[in-house]
Amino acid sequence: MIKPEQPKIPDGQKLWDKMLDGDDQALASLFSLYYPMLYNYGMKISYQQDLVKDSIQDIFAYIWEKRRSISQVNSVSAYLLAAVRRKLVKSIESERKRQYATQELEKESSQIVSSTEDLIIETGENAEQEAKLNNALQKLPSRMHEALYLKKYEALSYKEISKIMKVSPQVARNYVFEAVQRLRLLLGTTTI
Amino acid sequence: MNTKYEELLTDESFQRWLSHTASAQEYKKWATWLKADSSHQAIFEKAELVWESIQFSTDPIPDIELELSRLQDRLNLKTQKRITMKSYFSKKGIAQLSANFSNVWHKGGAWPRYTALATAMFIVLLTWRFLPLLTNPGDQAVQTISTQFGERERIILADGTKIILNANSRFQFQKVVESSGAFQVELLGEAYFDVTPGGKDFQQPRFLIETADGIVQVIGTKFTVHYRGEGTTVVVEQGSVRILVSGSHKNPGEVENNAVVLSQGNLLKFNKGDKILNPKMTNVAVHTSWWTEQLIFDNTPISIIVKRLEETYNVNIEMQNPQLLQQCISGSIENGDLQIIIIALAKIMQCTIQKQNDTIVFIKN
Repeated sequence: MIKPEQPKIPDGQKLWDKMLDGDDQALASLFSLYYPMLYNYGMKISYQQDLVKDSIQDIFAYIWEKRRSISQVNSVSAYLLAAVRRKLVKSIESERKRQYATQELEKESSQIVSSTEDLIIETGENAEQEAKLNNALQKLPSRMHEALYLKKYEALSYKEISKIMKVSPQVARNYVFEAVQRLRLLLGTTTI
Repeated sequence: MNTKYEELLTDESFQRWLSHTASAQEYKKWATWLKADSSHQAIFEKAELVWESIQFSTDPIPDIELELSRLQDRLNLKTQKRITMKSYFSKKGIAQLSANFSNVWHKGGAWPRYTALATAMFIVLLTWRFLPLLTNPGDQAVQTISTQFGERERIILADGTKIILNANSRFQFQKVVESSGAFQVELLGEAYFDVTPGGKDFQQPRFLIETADGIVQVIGTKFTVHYRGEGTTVVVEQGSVRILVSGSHKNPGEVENNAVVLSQGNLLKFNKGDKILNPKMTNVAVHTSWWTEQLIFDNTPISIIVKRLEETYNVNIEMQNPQLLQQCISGSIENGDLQIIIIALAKIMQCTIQKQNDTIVFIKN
């Protein structure tokens, strides 16, 4: 009786190290492993599917070509998410500059395109309350929305979010705090 | 008091507790907290409501495999799939195959690509051969055509008849039947025939294909014959053929009792000496797709597919759980090379693959 080996569970960190050593299969595995996460996050920053797809392509091409000069990373997912964000923000900014070359840009709004429509509030019974919530969430600042996404959906730590969003951990925490507060107020949990 | 929710909900440990990812220690801590004050239950419930209300829609993910090959193209990491080189399946080949398989993991994502070398080893080689000499079957040089594992031979006869001899098969010209001018050939293995109509008045058989189980008489038609020692299977794609089952009568001219005509869409499996012949209607493509670009399955048991792969590629394939063999699958798989087929099959069956000695083992996830 031959005892089968345990099937291998993909380990991002190990794959990353192998990739840095020039293992192209590890690169392929990393790509497949992180693609859904990166794509979903990218789509929170930009609505343009092709832009998100191309950005992910560019990032993996970059890390492969520069693998000799890239160091170890603490968190592969945080590194890649940050890269997606940087890339997309850059693309969106240059697109805006091209479109509104003569206009002065507001600093905050030029950073990322808001995409709060995808924040679905599931309250269940109360349709009126739901509509109210949705309406309010349309106005949720994009960075708050983004931090909430990384926190709730990707379950990242404030430290990781801070690295990705280039803010301090405290600011990342504040974003989540404020987003949660808005939600709570809307859900009518002010009274105990 | 109002900030209580925000404080709780921004606490990472509390978040983990709500998301059921807390450690045992954290779990204990929050359970204690819950009981510590009678108001905590209500706070918890409302905090949970807020937390659960945060739902993000996710976009449909693009085809990851396609995206990966885009990347590999760009970085010149793409494997060359269609290398035609004459190499059969050695133990070294299997070792290389398994080396690649060991890097294959399966957890919802796409499959990593494979290297060019192993791919080339397991490709089915298709060669062409033109046989104008068939009109002279006495010529020793062309009397027998045989294929190795992983080799397929396409034979084109002077009258336009095409024969595709599958891997590990032998095709032998026996004689010209004097009365009709038909060619009698013996088949061991598997072959697909596309016979140009002809013969005397288009009525006489042009071909007589003989296996140990009997004779297939052909006028002009497309069909496939499979014989590897456990009965002969004939499937007719177009036209009709007549089967003469071997038994007490060896001479096709005398046989009437155990003969049957198969028409388009019919399948007959028969053994030497069979008295009762039951042609069935079948999905012809399932039986003729072995030489095309797509292998086609239609509620086909895994056991049949495994057998076919073993016959074609000289590999041993086992299921860790033999019940898997009874499963049936429908659909098509690119008929490129063994590795592509095995990986696709594993994906469909939700199995991982391991190589144990010279055997490829499928293990249910």
